Amino acid sequence: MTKGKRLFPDQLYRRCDPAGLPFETTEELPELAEIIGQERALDAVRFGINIKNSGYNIFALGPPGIGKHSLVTQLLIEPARRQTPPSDWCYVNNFDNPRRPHALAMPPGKGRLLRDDMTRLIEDLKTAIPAAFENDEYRARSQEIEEEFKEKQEKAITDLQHQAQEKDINLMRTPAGFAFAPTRKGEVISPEEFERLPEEDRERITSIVAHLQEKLRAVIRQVPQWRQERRDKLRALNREVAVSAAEHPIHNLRDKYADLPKVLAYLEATQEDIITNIDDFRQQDDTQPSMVALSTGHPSSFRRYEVNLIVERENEQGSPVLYEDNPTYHNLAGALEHVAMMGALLTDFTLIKGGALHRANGGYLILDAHKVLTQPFAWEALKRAIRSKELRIESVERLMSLVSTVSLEPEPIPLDVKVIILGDRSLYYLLCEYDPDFADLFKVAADFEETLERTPASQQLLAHLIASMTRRYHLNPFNRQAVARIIEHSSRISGDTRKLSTHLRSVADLLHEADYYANAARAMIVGDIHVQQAIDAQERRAGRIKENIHEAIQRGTILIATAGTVTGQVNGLSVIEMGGSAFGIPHRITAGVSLGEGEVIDIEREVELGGPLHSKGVLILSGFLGSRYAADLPLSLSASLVFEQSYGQVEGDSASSAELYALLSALADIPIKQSLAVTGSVNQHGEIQAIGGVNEKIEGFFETCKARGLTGEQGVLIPASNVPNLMLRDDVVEAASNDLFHVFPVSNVNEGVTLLTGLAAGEPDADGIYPADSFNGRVQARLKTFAQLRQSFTDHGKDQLGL
Amino acid sequence: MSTGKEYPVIRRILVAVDDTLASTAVLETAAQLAREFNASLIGIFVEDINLLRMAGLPFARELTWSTAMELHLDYQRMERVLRGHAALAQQAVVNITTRSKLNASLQIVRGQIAPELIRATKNVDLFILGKGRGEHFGTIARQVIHQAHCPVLLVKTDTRYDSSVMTIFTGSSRSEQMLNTAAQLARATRKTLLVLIPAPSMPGYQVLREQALQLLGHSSPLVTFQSVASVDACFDQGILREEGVAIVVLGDDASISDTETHLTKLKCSVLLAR
Repeated sequence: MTKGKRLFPDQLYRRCDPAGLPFETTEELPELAEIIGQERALDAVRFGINIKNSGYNIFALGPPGIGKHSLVTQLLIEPARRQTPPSDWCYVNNFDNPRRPHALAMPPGKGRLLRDDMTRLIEDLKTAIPAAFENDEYRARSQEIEEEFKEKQEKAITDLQHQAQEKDINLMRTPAGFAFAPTRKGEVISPEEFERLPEEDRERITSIVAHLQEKLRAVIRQVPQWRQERRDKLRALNREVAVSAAEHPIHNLRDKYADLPKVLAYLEATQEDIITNIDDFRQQDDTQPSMVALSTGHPSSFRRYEVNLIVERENEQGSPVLYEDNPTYHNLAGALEHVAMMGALLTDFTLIKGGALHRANGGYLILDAHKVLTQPFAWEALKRAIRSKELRIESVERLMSLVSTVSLEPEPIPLDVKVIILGDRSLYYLLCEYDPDFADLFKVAADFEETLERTPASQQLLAHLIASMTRRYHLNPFNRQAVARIIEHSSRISGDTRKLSTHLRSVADLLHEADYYANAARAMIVGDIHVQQAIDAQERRAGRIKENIHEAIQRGTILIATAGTVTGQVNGLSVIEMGGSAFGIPHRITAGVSLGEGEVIDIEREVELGGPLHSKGVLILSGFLGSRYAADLPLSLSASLVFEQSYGQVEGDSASSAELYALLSALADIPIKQSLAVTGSVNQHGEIQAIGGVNEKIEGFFETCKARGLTGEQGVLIPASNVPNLMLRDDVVEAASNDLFHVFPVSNVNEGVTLLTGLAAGEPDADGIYPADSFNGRVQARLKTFAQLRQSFTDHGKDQLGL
Repeated sequence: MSTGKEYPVIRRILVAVDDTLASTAVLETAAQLAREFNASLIGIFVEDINLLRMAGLPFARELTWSTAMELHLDYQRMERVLRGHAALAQQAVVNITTRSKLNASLQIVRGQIAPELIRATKNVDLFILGKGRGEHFGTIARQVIHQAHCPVLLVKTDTRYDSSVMTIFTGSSRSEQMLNTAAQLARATRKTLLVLIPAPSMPGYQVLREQALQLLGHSSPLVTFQSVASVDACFDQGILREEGVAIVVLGDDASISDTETHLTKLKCSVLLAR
């Protein structure tokens, strides 16, 4: 089987000549600052970073592991460092309305200062205020007020007593109050004595007592008024003392923060509140916040003077670049924490917690699209914040009306952040399609390339990248043979001999694994054997199912012929992708034909195991048959096609050429060589079109053949347009060089038919008739027979009906 | 004593009790003193006959202090009230006795308050009375301090100082007695004795100081002397506060004029020696 234009071994694998790499080991190479092959994404990210308009947030799209995060972080470091650090943010009590705490912006580093100053102020006042109330002056003055009140009372009573005494009446203290009684020589007269008094005396006494009682009542009614006066005076005194005690320390702070008007206003309010609540400082039993205070949103006495520093920029250079690994709603937008007290959930401004948006405010926030989208409410919260340009802290429970506990509405903080989202392409396009806000908010798409052109320059670049990585991960240096092997592998991953993969994670993984094998072999330098070992090991680790299937083929459980000829049967090839690894396996495809009404039945589709692309491929076949062989005849066959022993879904049209060969073989009744396998899709004109996974497919058939012993007859037909994708394994290339296995590029059905049957396809004459002994002629003849047969059946039927 | 004079030792302490909270505090102080002097404590509760008489009068009404409400009074009710007060006083004394392991008793008498109290002071060595304020002091305490048969201690319970006992020494025989009582009190209560000597000149002061030291003899408590310009200066609040004076010991010393005014002014307990 040396006929046909089979591919040369050097077409099956594009080597990288180590001699072309101008270094011995990667140790000689300088570090590579940037990521390779991502110019488009780089430009996009740079553009996104520098443009200041709103909505120009960045979505970096590309498969996982391609290096989106590293690239974005690398690009951000420099611009972030050049910017001035943004403000610290604090939440402080709003003394007028504790449910709406105030937000204070502080120059970087000053937030902590204010917090500490306030703590110290309150600590100072805790001693200064009681001291001010302890001193002699205060004591004397408050005593004076007290005395004045008592004197007033006493004087009123004493006056009354004197008035009474003038009339020989005594004012007496009784258990509950006062009473009047007539006296003689200082002693109260007894009831008997009183009875003995003359009538008019008794009446006189009674009326005097009644009169005095009236006066006493008037005095007693005056007392609450005096008491109120005393309270007012005491309050005024307390206020005066408090003002003088608090004035000095707060004045110092006022000087210190003179350039921050909001802080000044806060200090003003604090001073007023301290003075109003001076008793808290005098008593100081602040161990437990009172239930009443908390349930109305009032922080307990001293907590209310605290400063809740939610964003701090101490020792930070430039603006922040933050990656939030766990972007839950609360981690992003901040949270209102609650404390449980006596069965109720309570909160105050000290329990406000900032989120990633707060910390990244004034800088850059990097998020993972998948994570943000899978966290409840996180995506909506992010969009809301970006759109409104402010940070509002709301508890999710409240948003959902799940709980109705006392909550806060903290003053919103203005937001100025550039958000960079990293995600899959599919997510990007889904969001574009289904989220109307998305396009407005993420105007910059940084699309990451998965491959780059394989040129000597780019190969050199990859070598530099390898050098940088070995240094970053502290690996042994790689020699140039090893680098060359990695370049080849990268080409294979990209699925194109003219390309290199930009998938950084697979490169990094391969480096680590090769380094492991080098270390195991006690080699100081990683060589190509170690790289090969690593590649083989990756394949072996993922190879359990592949081996099981190949074993089934060897045992004959799965029927695959690799020798001989059979009519209406061809070896197709498919690729199975599982968990990041892919492998090819051969499939037996058979076709049966009979007289019919021109339909090609795809059994896979009938049982709903064939995907739409597969069905499309099959339907094209009838189009091809009709137009090529029976343009002026009714297509009068009934054909059925099946993937034998396939019990799962079949998708893709890469087997459509194989199906066509099986069908044509059945029609022409010419056997097909089973030593060959076929891949490639076909169009209505009979042209063979490119397919994916060509390397795996060839290797899949090769393995089957190799296990049975290579005959030199075996090989695979691939679409000619897939030749640039060939990066076959060493053993396949070796077999090809030894003439034991072949890869045939095929560009149309005729070439394929010739290779598979050994018979010339034949060209049609001017009337579209193929030579009778050619393959196509046999097909045409069969179809014509079918058409005539069908015609005769139709006539016969009409006769019988008497038509 | 070096002078050879003998002063009565305090063996029996009489304390006036009523139903008020202040009275309980006075009782506490009395109990403490009784312990320190190792004396027995006798409480006295006087049922005010005036109240009973007044309650019996046909027009008897009481006006409540807090609400100015007029309440009807009658003899039975008043008796009941007084009995209740006596029971409370009894309970207070029992409590103190149990707690302080004291020998204590309570006399309940009916009559005019001041005369009954004065009568009761005949057989005791010290009479303790709440210092109270204003009107109360004006009537009953005034009569008692003038006519009592023994030294009277007017207790001020809300004072915060308790480190020393102060007295004034002028060299008169009355002031000797005061000094002696003060020394006795200081010793028993383990307080410092502060002796104020009103003397216009340094030599005068020195003489009086020597005299006082001699009087105190060897068994004297920790004593400090201080020279003051005049008797009035002795009642300067500054000195009293500075020295933490808990009790001032006074007597019917002719040179200490207007004892009563001083009494009302002083913010600490006062012992009137006799």
